[in-house]
Amino acid sequence: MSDLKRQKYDRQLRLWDTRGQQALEEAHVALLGASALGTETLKNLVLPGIGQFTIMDGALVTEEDVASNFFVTPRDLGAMRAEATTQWLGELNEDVQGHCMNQPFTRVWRENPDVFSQFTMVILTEWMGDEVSCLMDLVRFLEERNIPMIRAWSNGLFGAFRLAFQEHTVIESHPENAQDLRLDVPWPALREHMYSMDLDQMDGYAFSHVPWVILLGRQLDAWRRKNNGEIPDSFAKKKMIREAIRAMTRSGVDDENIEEAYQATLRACNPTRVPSQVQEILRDPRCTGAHSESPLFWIVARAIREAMEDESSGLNGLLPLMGTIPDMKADSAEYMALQRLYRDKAKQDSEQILVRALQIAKGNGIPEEAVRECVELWSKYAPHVRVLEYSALESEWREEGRNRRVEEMRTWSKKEDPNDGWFIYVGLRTVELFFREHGRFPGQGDVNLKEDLSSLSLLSTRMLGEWGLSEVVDSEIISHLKPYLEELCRSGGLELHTVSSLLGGLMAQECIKQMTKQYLPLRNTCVYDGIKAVTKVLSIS
Amino acid sequence: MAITPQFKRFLGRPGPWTEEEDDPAGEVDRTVSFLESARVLVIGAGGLGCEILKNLLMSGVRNVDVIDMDTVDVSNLNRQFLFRPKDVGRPKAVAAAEFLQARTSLGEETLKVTPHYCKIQDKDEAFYASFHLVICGLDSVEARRWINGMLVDLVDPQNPESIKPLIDGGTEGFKGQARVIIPGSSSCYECSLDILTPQRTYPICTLANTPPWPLLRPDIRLDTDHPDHQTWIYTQALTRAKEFGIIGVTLSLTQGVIKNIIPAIASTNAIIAAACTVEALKLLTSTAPYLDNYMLYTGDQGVYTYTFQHQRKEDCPVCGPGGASREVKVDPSWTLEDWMDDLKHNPQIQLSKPSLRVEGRNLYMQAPPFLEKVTRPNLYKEMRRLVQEGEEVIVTDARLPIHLTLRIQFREDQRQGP
Repeated sequence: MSDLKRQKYDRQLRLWDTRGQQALEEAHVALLGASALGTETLKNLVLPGIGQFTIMDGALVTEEDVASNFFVTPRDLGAMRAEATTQWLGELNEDVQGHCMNQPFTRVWRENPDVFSQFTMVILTEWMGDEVSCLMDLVRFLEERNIPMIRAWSNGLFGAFRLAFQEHTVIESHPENAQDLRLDVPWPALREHMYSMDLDQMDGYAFSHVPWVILLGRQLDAWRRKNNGEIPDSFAKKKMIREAIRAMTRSGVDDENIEEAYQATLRACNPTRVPSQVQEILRDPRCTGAHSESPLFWIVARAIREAMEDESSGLNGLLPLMGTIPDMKADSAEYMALQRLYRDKAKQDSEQILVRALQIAKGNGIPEEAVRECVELWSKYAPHVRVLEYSALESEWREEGRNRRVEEMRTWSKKEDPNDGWFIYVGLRTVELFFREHGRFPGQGDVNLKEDLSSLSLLSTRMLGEWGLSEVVDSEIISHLKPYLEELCRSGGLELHTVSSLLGGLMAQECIKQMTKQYLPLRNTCVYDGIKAVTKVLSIS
Repeated sequence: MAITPQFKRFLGRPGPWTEEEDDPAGEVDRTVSFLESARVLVIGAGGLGCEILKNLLMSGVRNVDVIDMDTVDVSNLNRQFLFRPKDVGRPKAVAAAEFLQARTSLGEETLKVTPHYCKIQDKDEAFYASFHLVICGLDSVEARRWINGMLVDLVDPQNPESIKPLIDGGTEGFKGQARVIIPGSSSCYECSLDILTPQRTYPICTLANTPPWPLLRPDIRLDTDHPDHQTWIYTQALTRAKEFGIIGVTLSLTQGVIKNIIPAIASTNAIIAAACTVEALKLLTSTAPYLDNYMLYTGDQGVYTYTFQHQRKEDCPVCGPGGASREVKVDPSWTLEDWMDDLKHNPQIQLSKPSLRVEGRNLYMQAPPFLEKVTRPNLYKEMRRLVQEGEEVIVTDARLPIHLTLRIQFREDQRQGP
């Protein structure tokens, strides 16, 4: 990466590093529908430097566009919307290539479907329910190619988007305060180090600089020896250890390290385990059956599993050690010695995994360096690695799973703080049905609001009825839904720039997480309520 | 931007969450003309500021002032989208105003964006009193405290016009917050000083322990923005890292530590700035109830917002009723200097350059120089020799429009010195 680029992207490289940046630069995003919602999303992807984008839109720039979309100007009135927005977005960052197609995506799809296979992300906005079968075909095409999709709505002070990221694996989930100290299962070198210093002979200064990890490690070990090797599995037992630590305080000697050990006891005494989500990954057939042609993620997962099962590997059935220690009160040399100890063990673990991963990957042509990098990352983040599955976008129009939606709505509507996300989502879907019937939004133009509201209510009951909701049993849901439908009639399909801008920020952020495979994207639908200033996450089956 | 017919309908129609109006038809015209004539001040033309300015103009506001003392840096370009490479080195406020004016107008001037290239402290009360609403997109605690104190001071209970709502946004990486402060009636910035996120710390033995600059180069003042100086610190850190086998010391990390660089991305700025502008729109048009009063956002593990009402502090030194005094515990064996260090780190106070007075005498004054000289010896005296139990100390900081009254309570045998 050039120095200038490094400077320009400095503030984001601190979040996703050059690896993440590289992934962004390989991305090609398609935007279907150049509304403010779409351009605001793209803005937040063009600025951090994705490789390319393509906008498909067959409309001309109107007064409404100029009023809500920052990436068309008054001078663009009457021009092709795809062309104008591509120009103004492209101008944001010279590193990014922007392309436009002055046709609605449905036409592009019918005339030249292969265009879509080049994209790494497809964002659909402003689709109002026409040509469903065409969209379904496209959705299936993208699903087959594992191309992630986002579908989004913005209407008045409400908005939502649904992610269909197919299967998404994350190694670098960037957990906060991750800690992997293994004080309950110290490996020989750590145990030896713990007892290499004679605390009783130390003067006050030296004692006050003993890292808390050592103090706690020794107290935990002493407690276990006294209790037949038992693990302190209750709060009362952990408290005993904590008190023993406090008793180490020497009068007149700074006790910051003892305080740190005291604070850390409850957490650091938790037995080292393989978290259930990682157990699931290691049990997954994609892991156990990984072969040379499998994605690197699964190859390494299998190598880890094998190393854990092999007694000679030194992993002892546990995940590889993360190999980092937190900041703590300590003498510099002592801190470094401890850090080296953890790093060395982590290195040994990942060497064990690497040998096995290379064996599985043999013959697939992946350079050893790439395998090594993946092994090291996997090892560093092992307890926090995740596999996220997304339901297919097709289910928006399919029968299965709908009953589960109603069940969830029932559960939510009975809670003290009902998840209004569901009502907004149902409201937005109903507006779509209204648009299909009337060719306009409810409340759009100088119309009779009462009439629009009653046909919208009717449509919602019909849709929910198809999902399995009963007007009698679920009267509560229906009464909860009412104000949301009213509000949607009030806005009449108005796209507020600021609401779209907020949603665009959220969507871009989820795209970045998907592209860099870092941090955890939400699953799978996010609803924004601008009235209450909250977002809600729904899992729509 | 122009207010479209549908936008006007939206503003005029009653909704399930709007207040009832006696005269909705007349009301909407008043709302629209207020929106179009309202004067809004944006503080900060950085990542949040650029977004806020754009959002305001796209929401029907036509009269915006922007104030920022910074110039454009290359590292701003990944998110501050009103600037281009040619703007590097130019004042942010000026470049942002120019860009918006050029982008949104068709020749005839309908929008007015007025830049102020200066510190917020350079402007007086009359300046701040001329706005209807202030939105802050800053990364400085001190500047926020200052503007908060200013707007609370402006409130005249007899005159509702004197209340200028303050909307404050902040981001760090994938996280952020937005809040609405109604000066004089809701929790103010000072009320929440102790809940601010603590800064990230680095292993104590790496960079912080490098030999202090003045000891080595007493002739030159350390400038953390100067590339040569940064390189110097980096080299020092690297030498030390080699000595102790520390890995991972890079120029980027060094810059991050010495300049306290906070990661910043376009998407989080967009989210928080929009959350702020939605509230501005609600406050200006009453189209929905405004946020009461705090929204936290986290986006690194899924998407999560938490909205709550932060409570006003009865003893807030800025907005608390009638100059309340706060009790502080002081070890009588501390020196005045020890106590000042404690005030600096006390999460509820955080004053780094306080001047201290008790009734009738000065304990320590930062300025003017002759007073500083006279009071300096007190710094090394024990607290028990300087003040009585229960005595009230008045604390001021020249950089903040705040003065605190602290009531001394002696506490023997503090476990640790500050």
